[in-house]
Amino acid sequence: MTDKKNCPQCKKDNKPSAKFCLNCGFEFPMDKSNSSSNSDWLSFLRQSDEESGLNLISLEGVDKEIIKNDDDTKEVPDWLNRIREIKQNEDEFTKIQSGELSYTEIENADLINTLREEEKSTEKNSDDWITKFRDISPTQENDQIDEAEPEPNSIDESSPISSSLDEIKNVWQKEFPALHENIENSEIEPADELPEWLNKTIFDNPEKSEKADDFEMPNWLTPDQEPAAEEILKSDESINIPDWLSQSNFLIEDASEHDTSDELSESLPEWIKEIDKHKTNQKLEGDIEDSEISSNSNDEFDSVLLFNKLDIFPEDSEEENEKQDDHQYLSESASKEINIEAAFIFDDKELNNIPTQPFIGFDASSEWFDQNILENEDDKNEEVETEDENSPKKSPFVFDNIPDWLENVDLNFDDIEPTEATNDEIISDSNLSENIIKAELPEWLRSIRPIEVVTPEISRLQPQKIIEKSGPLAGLQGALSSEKATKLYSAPPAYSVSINITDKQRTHIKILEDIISPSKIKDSSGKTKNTLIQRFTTQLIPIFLLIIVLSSLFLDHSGQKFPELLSADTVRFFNLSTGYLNRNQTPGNVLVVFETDASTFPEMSLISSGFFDNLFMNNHWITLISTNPNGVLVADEILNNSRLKVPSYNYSERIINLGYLPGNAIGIQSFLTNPKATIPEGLSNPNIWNEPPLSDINSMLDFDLIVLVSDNSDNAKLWIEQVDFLIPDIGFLLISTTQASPLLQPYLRSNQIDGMINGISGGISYNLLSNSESNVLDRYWAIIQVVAITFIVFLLAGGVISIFKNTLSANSSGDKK
Amino acid sequence: MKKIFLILISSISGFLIILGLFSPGSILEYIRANLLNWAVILSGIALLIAILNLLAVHWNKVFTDTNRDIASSFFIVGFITVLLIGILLGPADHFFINLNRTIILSVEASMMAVLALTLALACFRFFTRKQNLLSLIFGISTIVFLLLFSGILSLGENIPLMKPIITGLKSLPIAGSTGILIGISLGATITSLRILFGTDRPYDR
Amino acid sequence: MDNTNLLLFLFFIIFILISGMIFYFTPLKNWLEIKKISSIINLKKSIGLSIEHGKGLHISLGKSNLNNIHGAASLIGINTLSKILDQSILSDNPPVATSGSGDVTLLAQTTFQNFGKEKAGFSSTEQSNVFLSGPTNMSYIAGAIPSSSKQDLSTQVLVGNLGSEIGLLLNAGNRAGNYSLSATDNLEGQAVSYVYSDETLIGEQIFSIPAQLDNNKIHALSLIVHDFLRWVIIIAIIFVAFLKIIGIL
Repeated sequence: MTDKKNCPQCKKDNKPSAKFCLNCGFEFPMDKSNSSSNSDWLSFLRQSDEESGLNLISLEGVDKEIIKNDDDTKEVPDWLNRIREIKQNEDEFTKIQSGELSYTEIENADLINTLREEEKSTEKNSDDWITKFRDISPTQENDQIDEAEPEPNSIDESSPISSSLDEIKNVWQKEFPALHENIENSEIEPADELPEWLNKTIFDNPEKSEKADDFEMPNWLTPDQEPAAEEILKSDESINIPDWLSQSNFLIEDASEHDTSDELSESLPEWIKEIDKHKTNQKLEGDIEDSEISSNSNDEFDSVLLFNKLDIFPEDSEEENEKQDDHQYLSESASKEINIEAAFIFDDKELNNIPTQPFIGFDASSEWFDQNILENEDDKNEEVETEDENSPKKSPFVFDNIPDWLENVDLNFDDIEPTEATNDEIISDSNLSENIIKAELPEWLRSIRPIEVVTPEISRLQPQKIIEKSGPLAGLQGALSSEKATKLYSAPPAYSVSINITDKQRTHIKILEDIISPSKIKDSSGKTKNTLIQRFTTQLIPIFLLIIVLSSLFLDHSGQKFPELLSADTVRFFNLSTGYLNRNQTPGNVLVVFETDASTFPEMSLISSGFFDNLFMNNHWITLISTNPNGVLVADEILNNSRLKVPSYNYSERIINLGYLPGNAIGIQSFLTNPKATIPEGLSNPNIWNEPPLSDINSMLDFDLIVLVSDNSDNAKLWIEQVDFLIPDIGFLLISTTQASPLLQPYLRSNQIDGMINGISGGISYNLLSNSESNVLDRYWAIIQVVAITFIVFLLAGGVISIFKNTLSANSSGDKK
Repeated sequence: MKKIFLILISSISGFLIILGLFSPGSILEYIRANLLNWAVILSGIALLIAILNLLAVHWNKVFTDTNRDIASSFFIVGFITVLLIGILLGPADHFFINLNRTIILSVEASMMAVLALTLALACFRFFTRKQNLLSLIFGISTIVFLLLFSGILSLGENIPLMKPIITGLKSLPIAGSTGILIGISLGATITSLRILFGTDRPYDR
Repeated sequence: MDNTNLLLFLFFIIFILISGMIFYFTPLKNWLEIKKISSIINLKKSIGLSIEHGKGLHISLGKSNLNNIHGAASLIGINTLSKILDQSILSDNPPVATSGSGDVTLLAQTTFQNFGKEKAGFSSTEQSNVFLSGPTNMSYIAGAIPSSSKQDLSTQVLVGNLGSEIGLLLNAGNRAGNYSLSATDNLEGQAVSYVYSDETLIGEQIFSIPAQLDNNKIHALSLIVHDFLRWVIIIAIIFVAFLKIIGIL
């Protein structure tokens, strides 16, 4: 069978490695060997069952503690033990108060001695007071614990309190064995001089005085805090710290006064009251003033970090009554000479050397409350009492030989980085203790994180809270604490960043920019701004050209010379167009193909007018076709002009317009192969192939001549190639513009074309050969020559101007260099 | 799968046409003729669709587009007017033909005149825009052939050496254009072969 | 089939076989480096700059149909359009394409649609970027001039069969300050475009545009075949001329 853990609460078995009970959630205590958290100096409050033999039942809503000395209940959580202890001590304290128990033998050296350091302690102990808390030998602890084992439910006068004190002492000894090395006598010798806060007696029989240990005792443990107690007692405000801590000396007994002081008894827990009773009556010197527990209990409570963190609030009415009793006790004790046996008796030297800054943010001087709490003098509240100058104040936490890490802490808010601090945490210390050196951030930290430079200025938050007067938050303190912060924020400072670069760096930058910049391309994303000269030339050149052309129209060109030698192409064309067609007496059938665009109609009209006039005069049949949609229109226009010249020609009967031939090369090939199938109908007459002249046409060979009128060499080539390939024996003539004639010369050379009229010169030549009128053509012949010369002049002038521009720009750039 | 199907159709139809060209009188020629007829018909239909698309583009420019173009309204009005007249009167009607002839011939001829004027300006700015050897040769050749084809040089044909020079000069553009045309023809052939082999697919991008 | 046709057919078959062998069997790695044309390089830069500046492009595809030899130039124009669309379809100002032929217009619209769906999520109804500007030569130019002279345009590319009327289109682009590249297989168009255009491709350089714009090996290979065949013809011409000089022919 494996070992199982038995839950002490619900008696259920759990795994040996389980930390919590699966049934009820009870936390099993850890073994001593595994636990590493026992170094906490407050762990003495969390005794395990094995040590103390206490056991508490139930985790929630436990009203009463059940103290059992049961071996079976060894596994009890620490927090439960703590609660039990506190409860037990409270019970004992009440008993002491009521006089049932005496407090003579209660040894509180374990608690007080651990918190107190003598002046003559070694440096080690003085430097590291926390280690002293923790450095308790186990043997001594055990001895102390054994001695301090209280019996449950014992109502003896001395046993409960003494047992509780013994417990506490044992626990302290256990936790802080080093503190007790020098302690030869377990009994606490009464201190000669104690701080005020220790002078005040809390217990009924402060007969025994405990010897002050070498440890610094916080002020809140000082018994003598009489003057401030009255002020504390007067306060009825909500308290953040318990009253038993507000008293100056809860260790000093003052039974008579304690009985009657309701105010005092309200705030003090019972266990502290018990301790006070057993304290010896000692008087603390008046050096330790009651100002440490100031009249303004609110200030104290607000400023004490430790107490606020403990969050001890007076909840029950019983506690309030106890506090009232305590307060009353303190007030009464303050007015009277209280024969109190001080638990901690300090010499003058000891008291003077007791550091007044045990914790961060506390000032041992008398004005530490003023400085810490009343930082902002503008915000005053009637209910919030400022520092009481009359009442001497002292820090409740006074330590001698503050450790280094406390000394180096910067309590000045200017140097500390602003964080999300609550009112409790932000305590500005303008007047720090001399012993605490102002902390400064290291340079490297400041350099990497200059937050104070960037963040807006944040004013010091007042440790003093404003108590709301009206509204739902009336009576609450510091409820709207962020209001101040929001008003005091300012814009972060603006810093200019300037880069100082040398001339050499500037040149390097320029070079780099030139390298990486994209190369300039001629394109421009926007409209180019034309200069005046450019605009002038843009308008002048066309105007000049128009002037020349128009003037040429009105000039007399009768004396113009024509070329004597006519081109062979034109001669051949003439011979075929007249001789071949006219060999027979019957009119010939000519197929005229118009591959002409409308844009070249004027030129084509000039060139071909003589030919068509000749055809009309010889009364030949003409069939028109075009692969260009506009060719039909051009043909119709040209023939109409010739009809006007030859009115005897029966235009409507002799002219057949086949219209548009689609398909381009395919259509040409198809038409040349089978014209009837390709174009079955005409534009206006559906029976064109049944009527003359097409009634005799069955194939292309039936045509006498094919004349191609073209301004486009490409389309002309299509016809030439197809005609030569399919019907090589037919006469094929070409009328072309000046633009297309050079590219059609090879076909002429290769006899694929029988004759060609090329341009105006060809037209003039044909007119000369046919002896037809050519006045108009002669005029345009002269205009063409003039315009050609004009274009040459423009070209040369532009070249010369560009040369001059380049020369001038080169000279100017050379001058600049 | 779709791509392969398209490639097969284009390749097979191309090869059928070529084979029909080289086999006249056979069924391949019949197939070729029909295929070519269908291509011509499709080309006409494509032209009609493109014209309708043009009308839609100009319609959108006038009525819906953010950057409205007033000229598009003239196009729409002219298009609809001529279309209605042609439908109503017929394409062979003299009025319709005269209407078309008047507008088309006038407009296109004027555009050619504008081209001539802009060419004159371009000649003036030619050496400003381009300054290299090719542009110099181009300029010189332009001058020579302007003189040649304008008939100015033909007046000096009686001079002993002028005629062969003139004849030689007149044959120069023939030589150059022949070389260019051969290269263009080869390029067109290669491009057609790319489409035949399916490596280039303009119908599937 | 007569002897002439048979010879022609055989020549064509041999030609195809040689071309096929060059296409598929030759090692391509070292052969496929083609000379870069500066005009195309500048075109690429201009396209990139246009896209960056949010300016538009105008691509003109010429006036020729696909049923003739000049259809090859129109196909090159469509190929160029697809390459440009591949880069600029997602720009703020998508390119505009104009054409003078119906079938080329439909092909261009199909290309635009495919790229739009694939890359930009265009709907099929948005076809205002590609349209037929005119059925005839001059009407096509007249319809393309407004697209070419827009203020939000920076580059115009004219690839296809365009005649001397190309000068009007280029002049309108120059007046608007646009960068222009023209590539036409028409000789008159080449002469006029050389005067007006910023960059001109002369002769068969138009067929090198697809190979210059992308790294497709097939295009580069076709260029190499083209060059090879041109050299063959050159050699043949010289050889025949030599034979004629010596009197054999």
